[in-house]
Amino acid sequence: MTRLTDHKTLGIAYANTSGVFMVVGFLLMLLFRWQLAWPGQPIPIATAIFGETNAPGGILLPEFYYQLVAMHGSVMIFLAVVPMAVGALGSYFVPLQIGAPGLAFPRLGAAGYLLYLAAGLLMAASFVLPGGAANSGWTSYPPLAILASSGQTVWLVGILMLGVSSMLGAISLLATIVAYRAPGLTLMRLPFFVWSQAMTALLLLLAFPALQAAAVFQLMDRVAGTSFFLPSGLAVSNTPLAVSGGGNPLLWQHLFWFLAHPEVYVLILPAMGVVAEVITAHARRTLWRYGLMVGAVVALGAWSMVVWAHHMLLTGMSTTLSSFFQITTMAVSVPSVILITSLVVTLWGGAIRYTTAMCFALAFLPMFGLGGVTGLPLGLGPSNLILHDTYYVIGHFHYLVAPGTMFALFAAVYHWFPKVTGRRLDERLGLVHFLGSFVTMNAVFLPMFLMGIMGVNRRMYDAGLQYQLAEPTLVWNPHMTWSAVALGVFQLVFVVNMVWSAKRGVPAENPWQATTLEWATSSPPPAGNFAVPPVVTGAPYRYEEGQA
Amino acid sequence: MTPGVDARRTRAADAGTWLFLASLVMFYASLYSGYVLLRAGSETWTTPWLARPILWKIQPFVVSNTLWLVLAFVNTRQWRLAAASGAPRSIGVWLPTMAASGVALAWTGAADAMLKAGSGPAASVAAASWFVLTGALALGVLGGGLVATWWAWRDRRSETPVHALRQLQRYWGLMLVVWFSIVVGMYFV
Ligand code: HEM
Ligand SMILES: [Cu+2]
Repeated sequence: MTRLTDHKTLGIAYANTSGVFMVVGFLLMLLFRWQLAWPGQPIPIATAIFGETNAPGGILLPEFYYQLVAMHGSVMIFLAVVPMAVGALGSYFVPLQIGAPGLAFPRLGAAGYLLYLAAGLLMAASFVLPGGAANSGWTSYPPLAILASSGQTVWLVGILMLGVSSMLGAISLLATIVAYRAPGLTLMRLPFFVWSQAMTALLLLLAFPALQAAAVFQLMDRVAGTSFFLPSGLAVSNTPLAVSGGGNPLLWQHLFWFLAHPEVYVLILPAMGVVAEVITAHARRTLWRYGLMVGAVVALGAWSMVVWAHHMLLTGMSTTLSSFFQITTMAVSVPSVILITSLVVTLWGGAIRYTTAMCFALAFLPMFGLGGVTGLPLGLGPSNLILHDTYYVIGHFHYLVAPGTMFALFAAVYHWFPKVTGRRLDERLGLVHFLGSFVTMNAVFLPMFLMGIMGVNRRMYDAGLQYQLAEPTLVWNPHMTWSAVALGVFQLVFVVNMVWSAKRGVPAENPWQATTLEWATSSPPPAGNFAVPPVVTGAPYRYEEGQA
Repeated sequence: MTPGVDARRTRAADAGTWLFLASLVMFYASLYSGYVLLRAGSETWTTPWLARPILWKIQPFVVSNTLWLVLAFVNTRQWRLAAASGAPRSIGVWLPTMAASGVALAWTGAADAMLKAGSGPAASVAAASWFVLTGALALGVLGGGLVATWWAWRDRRSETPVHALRQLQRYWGLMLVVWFSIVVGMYFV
């Protein structure tokens, strides 16, 4: 606890923990991808590991399959990517980038981490409960989720803890940015990464309480017999449910998406911030239209709070309401396009160095683009009617989060590894990691668009075998699974690289000659970060002045 | 400690409190909007606590709740003013603590009346909303009371920083606002 009060230790703790959860989430995925590729075929060692109740004869039971899927989503979003992008990168680099000696409330930050750790362990441990872990999707829609086994209760408690955790973290980070900036570091001189982290923290702070309120309601429905989300006259297997009824399942969806749509921006904004840092440093360029980008990221964050019901266009809302959400959804793409355009134009005329960090950052741009563009048909009622709840949606958001945010996270690791360890990652292994990940990621996710367009529902235990029309696309399933395996193998290269380079890598202080403040101190930074508190006299990116 | 460092701390605490309160506002507003949406969308809504027998039992609790909360708010304000003038011991700094206990007791009493009248949380969505909303408020008040108690005890021989008391006062202000929203939305509508 005492050491966690140092923001660098805290950041590394977040990185390690969320890294482990990333592996967990990945392994869950490999298991259900097996089922999707070869439905009903036994996995040789599954019974030994998961027991007769989950995988008799090595065949994943539907009950277990749905646990794997629900927990894959929950683990990846709440326990892996957000803690990595916000907890790890934010805690470590924001104080450095603003020239601060640490976080404003170190103990809040540490408490936030411990709560996250506890919630994560609790949710992971729920697999051993009778009935297993939560199995109603990461979205936990009622009534299903209320009738589900006790793993769902643990999931809800975990979400409540994560909400408190992210509130503590967000307060600590934002207060640091407000009060501990170096002299001369005005708001419009902040590195873009800091802006993206500030907006992210604000979203977590303001949107997560809605999910917590929803979790309280659902918890009451599960343990106190209330009917917040249970309508009257509900019958399960022809037996009327012994509850008062009178509630509304759609209320959950509203509260859930009021958080969960901003949450997707929580996933993407830090990625944008990373890409901005990497592109400027490795292309030797100032951000194109920095002010516009700041405006866009603020607009994006604010606007993301009024689009949530585009996830609910088919729930029978009134045309007026539906039109409202379709229009706001179309409008939200404007700031996204501004951001991506600025990042692309920044490259123009730059002296690009094709480092691994840069390769990942460059790959982020078209991947994010594809994810964003495929969101537009989802945001319009007529096309949503066809695409909703199909693999197309899965393709859409994975392009944003997997080759999108994950690539940005990789870029961050290659870019900042020297800052944290004083040594560079090996570039040749990095290139293998990049090329391998780029090809296999696309091989996993691109076919999903086609399957979705053919109508394959996203939650099929048998991968959609009954959709005869979709057969030409379903043949992709085994290839997708093999690609996922290969993707995992290329991550091993990455892990080897990190372990090896941490000890043997080429020593480096500021290998990219970057000009932002985190590089103005030694690598790794000493306790208190800066021997002499820095004074800022100009913009963060000063690559054209030739002083690098 | 240099004044610069102190000023930064105060600034961070100020920002931190506002952010925390904003997050709490969103939490209570989400619970509240749940209640409003359920009530607006229901065709069979009845409001059990407005029915005669419970109403008579609950009314005193509503009144005492209000009094306790106002007391906590006003008293924290006095405490801050006294601390600013250097004489914090001159007023009863334990009042927020008592007030918080008072609110918790009032809630328990009201909840008991609801249960005895057969309007437990499982009886109807209306009753459930009452329990969750007022319960969440009581918990929030209890939390504020705990902090006030801790400070009063910690600083029994020294002075509580004025800016810290200002944050506490803001917190009680928020609790008051939440409570008045509940009173208006649940007891008058
Ligand atoms: C460019 C603007 C974007 C638009 C117009 C858009 C639109 C949509 C729409 C309409 C849906 C609902 C589909 C359905 O269920 O019928 C959706 C789902 C989703 N989007 Fe986006 N989106 C955009 C950007 C993003 C970003 C940046 C992310 C995350 C990094 C993201 C992550 C998700 C996720 C996770 C889901 C699926 C949630 C689920 O049902 O499990 N989207 N998007
Ligand atoms: Cu959305």
